[in-house]
Amino acid sequence: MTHKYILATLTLSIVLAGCSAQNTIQDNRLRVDQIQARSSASTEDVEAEIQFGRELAARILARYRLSDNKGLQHYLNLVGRTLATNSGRPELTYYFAAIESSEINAYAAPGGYVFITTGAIKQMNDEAELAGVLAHEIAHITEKHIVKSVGIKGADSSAISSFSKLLGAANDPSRIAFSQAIDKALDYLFENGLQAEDEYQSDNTGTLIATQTGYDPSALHRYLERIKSKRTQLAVVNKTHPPFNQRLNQLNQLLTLEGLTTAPELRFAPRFKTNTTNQRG
Amino acid sequence: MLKRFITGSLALMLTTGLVQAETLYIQSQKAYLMGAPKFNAGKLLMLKKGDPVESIQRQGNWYQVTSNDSVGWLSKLLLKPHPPLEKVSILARADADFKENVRRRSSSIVTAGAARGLASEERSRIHQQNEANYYALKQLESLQTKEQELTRFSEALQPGGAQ
Repeated sequence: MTHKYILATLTLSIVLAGCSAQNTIQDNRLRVDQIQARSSASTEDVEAEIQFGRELAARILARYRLSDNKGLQHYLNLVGRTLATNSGRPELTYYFAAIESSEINAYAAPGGYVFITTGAIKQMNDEAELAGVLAHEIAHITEKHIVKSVGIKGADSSAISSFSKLLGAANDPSRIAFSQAIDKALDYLFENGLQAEDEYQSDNTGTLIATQTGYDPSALHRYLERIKSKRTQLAVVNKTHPPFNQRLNQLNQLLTLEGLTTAPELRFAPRFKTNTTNQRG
Repeated sequence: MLKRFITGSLALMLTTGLVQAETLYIQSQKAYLMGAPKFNAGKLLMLKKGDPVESIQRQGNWYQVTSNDSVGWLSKLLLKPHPPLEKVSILARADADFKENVRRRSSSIVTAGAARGLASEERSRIHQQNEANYYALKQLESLQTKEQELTRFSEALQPGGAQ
């Protein structure tokens, strides 16, 4: 009887040890996230992130002309800043801008700078789709994809803390390193793209941000499904993002997991059309 | 004696398997504690920015938490392990540095190209690609939205709000 009891106990111990190992892996991942979250909880780091993002934003604005449609710019900022209140980074001021281009694309620079092409807005049917795309870009910022990918790391500090050191330094090697970091970020935006995983994460997090804000959860999915065949206008997106079908599959999985369904009453099409009429012609 | 030892060991093992409680803080202006880990679940309690909650477990994109003796679920998007930071702005300083910035960055781009051993045409191409438009940037940063207007806009998105 005692032997059976010990045997059962041992079996249970092995099972629990397995669970514990699994938990340890998950805990480690959580801890890494938490350390990163805490490491960004200093004003100095956020300032560095914004300063890097500003420089990158100025370069994006040298490639594309800022739309002079003030009504549209104001509307983008209302939609974008409403989404940003649900994105978990209240320390940032977000700026949203329409840039003139027939390309279908949108860009995010660290620190809160988001750009969307007029070509992309023309393809949209309602405010929920606009929100889906802006929220995807917000997610790149909240998840610090560019900051992490540029990958400047100090001995015992996060990538962003190294940015602080870089920006604070007044010597030439630091300026060169800063400039090279900008080159690398431009390469991610216009040539080689971020990691596919970063794009899937932004699709998912963006959809959650838009849903949390009150928009149709299926909006980003609807938009991607509609534009995926427009090859000429998607030349940059196709070289910097994973294939559309894989992005759509990932989004389908998220919608199923969260039990989210399409919600036509949460698309706000009349308001979108009023505010983008001049743009859409 | 043996039984008591084994029972004690089991209890210890079970306890260490539990997720360690952690204090998390609300980052959005307001957040609803939900009855289940779903966006369409019932709202139990309204929490506001900076409120602390204790995590019990994480399930996908949701945390189960306790707050004011209530147990419920919050989206991971609304929580961070530190209190919300105040708004950070570098614009006042950036304004003062504006002209210096243009000169310094531009020259460092050329220096960076030279340091990487690039030929002069390549340097010139990279320099051209790296041109920065700080005037458009300032225009962008002047785009304001009033707090009241944002609140009205956001309220229209809630059930029953005017489209």
